[in-house]
Amino acid sequence: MSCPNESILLLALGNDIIGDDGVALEAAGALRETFGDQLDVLETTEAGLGLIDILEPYNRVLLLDSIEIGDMPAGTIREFSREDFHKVLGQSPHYAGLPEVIALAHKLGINFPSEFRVLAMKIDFQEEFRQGLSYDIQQALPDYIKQAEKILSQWIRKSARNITN
Amino acid sequence: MSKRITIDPITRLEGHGKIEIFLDDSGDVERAFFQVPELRGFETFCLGRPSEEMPRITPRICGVCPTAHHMASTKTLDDLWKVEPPPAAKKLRELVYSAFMIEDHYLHFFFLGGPDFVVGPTAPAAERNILGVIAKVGLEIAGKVIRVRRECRNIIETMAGKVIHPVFGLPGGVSRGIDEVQRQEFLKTAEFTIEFSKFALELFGDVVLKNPDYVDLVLNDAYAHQTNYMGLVDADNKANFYDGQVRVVNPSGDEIAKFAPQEYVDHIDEHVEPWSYITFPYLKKIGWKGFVDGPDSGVVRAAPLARCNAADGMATPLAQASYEYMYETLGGKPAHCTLAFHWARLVEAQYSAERMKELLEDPEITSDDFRNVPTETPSEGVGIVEAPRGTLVHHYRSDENGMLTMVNLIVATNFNSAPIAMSVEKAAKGMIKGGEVNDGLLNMVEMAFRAYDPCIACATHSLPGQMPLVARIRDSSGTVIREIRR
Repeated sequence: MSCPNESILLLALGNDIIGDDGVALEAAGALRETFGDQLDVLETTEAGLGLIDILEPYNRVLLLDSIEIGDMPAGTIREFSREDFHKVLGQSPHYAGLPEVIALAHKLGINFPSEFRVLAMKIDFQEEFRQGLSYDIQQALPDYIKQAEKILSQWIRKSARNITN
Repeated sequence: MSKRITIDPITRLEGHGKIEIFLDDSGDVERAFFQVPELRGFETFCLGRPSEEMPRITPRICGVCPTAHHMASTKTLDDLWKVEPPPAAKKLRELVYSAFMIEDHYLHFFFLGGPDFVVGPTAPAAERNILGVIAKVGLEIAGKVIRVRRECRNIIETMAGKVIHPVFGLPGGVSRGIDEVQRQEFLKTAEFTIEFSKFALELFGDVVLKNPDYVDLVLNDAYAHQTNYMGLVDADNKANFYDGQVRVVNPSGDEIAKFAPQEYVDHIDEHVEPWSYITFPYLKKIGWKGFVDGPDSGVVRAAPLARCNAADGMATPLAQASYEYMYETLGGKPAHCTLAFHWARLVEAQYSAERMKELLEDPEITSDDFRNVPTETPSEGVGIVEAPRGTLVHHYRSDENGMLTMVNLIVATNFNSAPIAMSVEKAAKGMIKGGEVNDGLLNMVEMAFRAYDPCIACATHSLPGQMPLVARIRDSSGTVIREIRR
């Protein structure tokens, strides 16, 4: 990106050997084709505090991930903003999650993207290691990509305007 | 009327492990179970794949300790392909591994296990987290923790690419070496981590050891088990995380086994229970005697304090002094206190920091001779390292082309699964009396398994990353009569 303050990251979290857990990685692959070098795309299984290092240099970040919680049917897409993660709910036995990452960055004065959105797709509990997406998730994938495209396109236009001005 | 309490972590990274506590008619704990319906089929997933892919595939089992799987897998390939890495390659591997141990141990102490002590075991759940720790210890210290972690990860990334997907270990060596400029840069990190290790142990002394309530808690019988202990040791029986033989001591501290990684099948077997997917490894020559401790038990623990118990000491001066002070305070060796795992973690991090400096001061570390190309026909290999949370075993067999025909992994949380189940039950029985169940008491039960730094999910991340615990109390008909969430 030519202007650091306008930098955009598409961050896809998931694991491509745990079936539907790889849905964000699939989407990121398609979005990379669409947007080329207009933004950075990173697919990773990174978690917890490692996200601080990844997020710090960017001004706008769209995070794609899957979720298993909730009663929604598999393939349901949910959008979250930074405010949804403000509450740190408790102590983990083994891990620091996104709420802790956001709170920690804020406390320590580490840069955190001013615009931070999450698009999450509900998946069913994955019982086995396997490659490839289930039928339900494959069907939902085009909509998932479309919603991400919309957000990223808006950000790219906004960045272009800011750079011009 | 009997009651049932369930502590059910429902996010993926925590896995789907849960704790079920059954109360009797008087409200005391009758039984407690630690259950893990974990992801299945990894070994089968690997069959038929080229063995050389394993150091890249196995780190994906877990987003928390990819370096441990990468290193165990790499060592297994040395054995499978019958190739000895050059000395510089072993040193470079151990350098990367030391950096990993430091960052992982401090992450657990300050962010995951630390809140129990730094903020308080019965503090409100909303405060018992990293922000609570920062509020107690101050922003400057939190910033240092982040710096230690970043600098150690910089070493790993320089050598192995992305921390989460290391590309470094090869059968017979490593993919790259370091030059003098990098050696000097890494040496600064090593010196900083040694200073930080002194500070971390001082902080533990100030916050925990100077608080009589915490010392009582650490020494409380509800958190103690007299088990066997296991860990890798070097030729002098000093703890080693990268290489050596596996040493096992009994609850009295006497050596009862010492074996090369390839001999693990003669010493370790796995018990299964119908109520859990996780296996329960035990000492084969003693046999499975159930979820019991004591001199006749086959249960063996593999965790920071277990490693310290299994070794005769630490191979570096500061860590050795810290090791001696720890045992002096705990009343001798071996120590059986589960909550002292946190202390041992800090001693081990100090050893890793000193070891990193030793390796970087060795002129051979910058050698260009860091790979021996395999020339033998592959057949079978075993590799063992000490992951932050305990002994990690990889075992592969292949055909003559190196295509995998058998894969067996025993991860640290496997080894600790029976002890965790025992620790949870004992803590529940010690803490919950007369039907009184509240958030603080349940956290004190959780502390029994949190000390093991359990890795039960083998998934890699979770969104939104919170850990909603649900404690349900049911009557004998299954009706929920109380629910605690956080």
